[in-house]
Amino acid sequence: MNRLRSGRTETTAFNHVILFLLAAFALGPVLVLFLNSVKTSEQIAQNPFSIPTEPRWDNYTVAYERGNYANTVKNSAILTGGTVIGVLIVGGMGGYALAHLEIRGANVIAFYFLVGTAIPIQLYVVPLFFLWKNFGLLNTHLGLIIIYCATSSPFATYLIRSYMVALPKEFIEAAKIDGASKFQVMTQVILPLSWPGFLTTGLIVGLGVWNEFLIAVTFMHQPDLKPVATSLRAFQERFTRDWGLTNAASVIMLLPVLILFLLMQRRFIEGLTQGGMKM
Amino acid sequence: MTSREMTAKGGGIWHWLMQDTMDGLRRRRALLGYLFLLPTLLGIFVFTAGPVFISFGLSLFQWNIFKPPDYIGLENFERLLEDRRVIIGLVNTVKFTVMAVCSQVSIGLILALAVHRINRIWLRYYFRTAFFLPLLMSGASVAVFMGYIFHKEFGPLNYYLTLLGIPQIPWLTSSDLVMISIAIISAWRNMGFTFLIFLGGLSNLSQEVLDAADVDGAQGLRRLWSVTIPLLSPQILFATVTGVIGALQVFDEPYIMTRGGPGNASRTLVMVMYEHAFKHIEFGYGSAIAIVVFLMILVMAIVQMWLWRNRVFYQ
Repeated sequence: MNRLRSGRTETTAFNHVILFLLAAFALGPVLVLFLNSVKTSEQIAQNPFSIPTEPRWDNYTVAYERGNYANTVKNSAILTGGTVIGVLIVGGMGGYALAHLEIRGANVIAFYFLVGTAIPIQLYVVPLFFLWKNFGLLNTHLGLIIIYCATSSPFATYLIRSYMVALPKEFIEAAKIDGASKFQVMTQVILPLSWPGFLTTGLIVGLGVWNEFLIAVTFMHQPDLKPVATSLRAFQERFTRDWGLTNAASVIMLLPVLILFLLMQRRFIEGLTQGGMKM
Repeated sequence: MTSREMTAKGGGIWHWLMQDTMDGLRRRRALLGYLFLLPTLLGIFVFTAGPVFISFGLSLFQWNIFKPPDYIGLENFERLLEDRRVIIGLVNTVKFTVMAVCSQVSIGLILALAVHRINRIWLRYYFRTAFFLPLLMSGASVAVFMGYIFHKEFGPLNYYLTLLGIPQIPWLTSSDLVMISIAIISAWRNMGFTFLIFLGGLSNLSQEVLDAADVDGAQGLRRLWSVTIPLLSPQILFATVTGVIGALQVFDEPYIMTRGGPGNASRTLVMVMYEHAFKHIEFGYGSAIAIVVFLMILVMAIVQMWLWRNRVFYQ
């Protein structure tokens, strides 16, 4: 027993060393990003890890202005909001169908969804580009929202389904015994009870849209309608050497996501692991 | 068919559907189910499946927007076999996939094993947050600031290495190192995902089996190799397959950090495809490359589906 215990403390110490090294690997770059976002280029060049003595908060206002963030943040908010609403409606319907209406060929549908989400946008971006041009959807927010909805709804459908399947059957049975119609069961029992699923799905889909880059650069050429990811990229190209500003620009983009994450960490983690499919 | 027959037939279907029996009820539910799924099914068809079919068609043509499409049969595919850039792109993609997936799966596994042993809840919470954080950042912004961290002259990484007496390493500017650097960056971003999957798997492991291993005296690495890792194999398979599907598509990081350079050293297959379609405006040829990528991903999706159906899968 004694031998066992001493072995345990040794491995625990080893355990902690590994963990702290890897935590440094994970957090180091993020820390550098935050620290350097309030420094001048000279200060950064002197020592990238130093704590800024006189934080230059100006970096944020300057980056916000030069990157035209007022505009791009608004655009991204429109895109994210529109997509989340659309995906929750479509995914909620699909999730309900897969969970509570017995459907034949659910396996085929699952495979279709899986392949559908696994195919990278670059593969079909060419035909889609021409389709969008013909429909007049190029350079519009609606055009982007439709693409985002279509690409994220299979994921959303499966995620919402997994929550709806897990609902306790007793609630549904009880409502039926009380004489609720199928429609009432759906709107008054299943939908309200599966709100965590909708919240989680909304967060994950929203995160994906907020961060999306390639579809945005391909389908949006109108400068005043561009989302935040493209603005960061443009910013980096123009101010390559001003790392302080560039870092501040990155932090501006990360901040809203970070705040939501810290508030609703469990939902994010559930969504990304339980969904089983990566966006 | 006369209109009368049509109404009769329509009436038949109507009757078949509205029958006041359990079968009729089941049919109505199924119909409603398919209707509810229709937007998603249609969305995939319009945005993914349809365009992929169109790409299949396009790959048989020579087409830029200046001239009408010209049918050339399999010439695009013949050209593809001899195209140096395509071959380099394929090699780079495979190299990247192997390096990135191996490292993110092994780091995630080590992390999960280590965090699983921690008993203090707040410390677990802290580590979970720390490792998840990179997943919140967009590929584009990771690329921008990792470009800085790995910068040869101004990057913090080399800054500290020079303090240790190591000469500046051209992480992103040497053709030997650039793919490794991008794989490290990708592993940095994705390890939180694999970590969480393994952590979930570990907390679901049957305690009985672990106790039996204890009684048999399985300790340390021995126990890890012959008990824990085999028990985690569903999660390991899942993380590997999703990792491969993601890695085959790598685009944002090399596109933003290196533009495929130096030379062609970090040009991936998806990048070559994208450049042919949008920079050289050769839609037919771009589509032919797209089909190669599509087939690779299809194989992985089939593997994933197989794992799913055989229940060796993370749920």
